[in-house]
Amino acid sequence: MVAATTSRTAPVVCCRAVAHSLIWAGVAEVSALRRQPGRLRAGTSPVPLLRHADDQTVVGLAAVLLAIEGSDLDADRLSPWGLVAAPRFPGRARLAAAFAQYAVDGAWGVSPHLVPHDSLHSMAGTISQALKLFGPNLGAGGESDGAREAFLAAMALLGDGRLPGVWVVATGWVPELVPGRPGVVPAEPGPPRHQCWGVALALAMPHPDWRGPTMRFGVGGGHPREPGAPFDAIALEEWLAVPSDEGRPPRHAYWSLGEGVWIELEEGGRPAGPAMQGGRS
Amino acid sequence: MIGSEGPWITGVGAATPLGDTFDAIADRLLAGQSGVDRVRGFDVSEHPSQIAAQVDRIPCPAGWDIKAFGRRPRLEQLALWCCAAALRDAGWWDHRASVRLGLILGLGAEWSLIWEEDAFRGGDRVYDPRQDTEPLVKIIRRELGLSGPTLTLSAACASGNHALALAKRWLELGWVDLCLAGACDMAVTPMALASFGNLRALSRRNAEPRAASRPFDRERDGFVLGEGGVVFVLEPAGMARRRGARPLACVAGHGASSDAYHPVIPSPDPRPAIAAMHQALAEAGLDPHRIDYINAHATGTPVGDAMEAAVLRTVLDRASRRVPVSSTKSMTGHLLTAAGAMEVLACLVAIRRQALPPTINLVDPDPECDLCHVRGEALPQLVRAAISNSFGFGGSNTCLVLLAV
Repeated sequence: MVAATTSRTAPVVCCRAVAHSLIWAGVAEVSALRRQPGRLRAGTSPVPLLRHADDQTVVGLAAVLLAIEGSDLDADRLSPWGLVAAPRFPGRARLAAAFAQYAVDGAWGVSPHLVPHDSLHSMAGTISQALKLFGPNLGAGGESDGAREAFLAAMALLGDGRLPGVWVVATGWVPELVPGRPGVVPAEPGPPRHQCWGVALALAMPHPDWRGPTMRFGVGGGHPREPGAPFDAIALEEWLAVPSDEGRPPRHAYWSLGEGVWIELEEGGRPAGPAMQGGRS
Repeated sequence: MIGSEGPWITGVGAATPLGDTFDAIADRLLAGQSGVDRVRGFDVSEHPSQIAAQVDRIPCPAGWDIKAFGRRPRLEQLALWCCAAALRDAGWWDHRASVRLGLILGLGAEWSLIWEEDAFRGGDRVYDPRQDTEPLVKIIRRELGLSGPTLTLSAACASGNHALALAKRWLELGWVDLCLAGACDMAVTPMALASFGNLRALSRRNAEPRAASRPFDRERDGFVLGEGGVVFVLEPAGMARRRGARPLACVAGHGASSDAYHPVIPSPDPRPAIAAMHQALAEAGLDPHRIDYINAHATGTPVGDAMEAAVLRTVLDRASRRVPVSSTKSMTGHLLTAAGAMEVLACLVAIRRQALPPTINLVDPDPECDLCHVRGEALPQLVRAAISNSFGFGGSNTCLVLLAV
C-alpha cells in the first residue's frame, strides 16, 4: 500500500484515445440539435430524452454521437462503458427563470424538471440513458476547471481495471450564457455571439495492437517534464484531430492540469515511459 | 479480523439533522428518533410538501472567527466544518501538511444552492458569472492547506458511495497519501422543495412530520427532504496501523452501475442494481450470508422501495430471511447528494456500537418489500460486515461494503 511519502513513484494510468469530437453550437443550433443530436441506436428517439434537458446536455450528447460516427467504435458494444460528464455552471439560465417564476406563482410555478435536468449529474445520466451505458455515470466539476476533475474521476475508474472504457464529456458556454434580468431589455442586443462547445473523448483500456493515440495520466511525481502547457479540453481534442502522417515522427503533448495532475498524449501507440500493465503502468 | 487490506476510515466530520458528532448521531439513530419537522427558515404554506429534516446549526471549526464563518454561504460552512472535523477526529489536523491530502466531495448542485441563497438575500449572483470564481473544493483546499488533488462529483443520491470508492482508488493508485471523501447538500430550499414537490416525489403527510418518512411501509407516500453533510478520512491500512489510528471500518468493496432507463424512475429491470451489489461483494470477497447489516437506500417512494427489496431478495437469496435491513432515512430524511455518506455513517454506528439502527414508522410492512426488517427499535448485534446501498437520479446504482477492523 501507499507510504506517507509517495511522490515520484506514483503509478500512472494508461489508455487508448479511441474516439473524439468537438462541437461548437450557437443558440439556434442547440435548438436544432435538441431535435436531432445525431444518430442514436435503433429504437431510441432523442426527442423525449432531450425535451427538458439543459442545453449543455444536448451539446454533450451530440458530441458523443459525432465521436462515435467518426470512429471505429460499435455503438452496440459500448454498454459496459462508464461516463463522466463535466458541464460548466449547469442550470444557470433555468434557475434564474425559476426564481422569477417563484416570485410570481409561488411553489406551484417551479418546474419539476429543474432538479432532474439542471444538476451536476444530469448530463451524465441523460447521455448514459441515450447510449444505453450500464457502467457508472458521474457528473464532475461543474465549473471552469471541470475537465480536470472529469479526468481525475474517469482515469480512476479506468485504473480500477473493471471497465473496458470510459467517456469523458466536457461542455461550456463561451462567453458564459447569462439570462436576461426580469423586466430589463438589453440596450444593444447585438449579434448572437454565445457558443456552446462540447468535447467528447472515448478512452479505452490499453491493447497491444493499438497504433492510435495513447494517453498517460498521473498525479504528482512520475513525469520528468514539468510544468506542461495549461490544460484545455478543447486544445486536447484539437491535438487529437490532427490527421496522423506516416512521413513525420509521432507527435507528443503534455499538459499540466494543476494540483499535480498531468496528461501526456503520444501518437502511434505506447507513449514513452514505464511498461503498461493492464490499465496502469 | 477481515478485510484489513482496504483503506481504513479513521475520522468523520458531520452536521446532520440528528447532530454533529459521531456519538450524538449514533445515540439518536439507535434511539429511533426522527429529525423531521415542519420546515423552518422560509414560508412553506403554499408548498405541496411542508416538512423536512434540517440542520439547525453548523458548528464553526475551532480557532476560526465565528462571525466571519457565519457570513459564508451555508453549503460552504457545512463542507468546511465537515472536512476540518474529520481531520481532527482522525488525528491528522496538526499533521495534514506533511502528507499529500486529497479531497473528493459529492456536491450535486453547488452553484444552484449558492445562487439561490444569494437571490433570496436580494443578490444577483446568478446574473453575474464574474462572481463565480472559486468552487468549493478549491476553497477547502486553500483554507485547510491541502496539497493533493480535489474533485467535485455527483451521481445524485449515490454520490457519497462514489466519493468513497474513488478515494479508495486514488489511495491504491498512489495519487494521494490520505483522502477526505464524503458529500454535502443543503437542499431544503424553496426551489428544491418546490421542484421535488411538483415532481410528486415528496411525502405530503404534513400534519405528522415525524411519521412521514416511512420506507417499506404500505402507507409510504414519498420521501422527506433532508440536508446535511458527512466527510470521512480514508487512509491506507498500513499507515493507519503504524500510527496507531482508531479504525472506524475498512472500505472493502464497491460496485456501481447505471440503469440507462430514465432520469428519475428506477428501472423495472433489476439487473443493473444487482450487478452493482455483486461487484461490491466480489471485491470485498464477501458471501451474502456473511452480511450482518444492510442499510438500504429505501427513500419511502412506492416504486423505489419495492424495486430495491426485489434486488436485495435476489442478491441475498436464502439469506434474505435473516440478514437485517433498515432504512435510516426514516429518521434523517433523504439528504440527497449527502444521503450515501450519511448512510455509511449509519453503518459505522452499527459496527462500532454493535447495534442496528431501525426503520422507524414501519408499522405495516408492504408485502412487496418483504425483507428481514429492523422495525421500530435498534437491534443489538455483532456487526462485522455492513453494506450501504445508494441509488440516484440519472439511473445510478452503487453499493459499498464496510468491514469491521
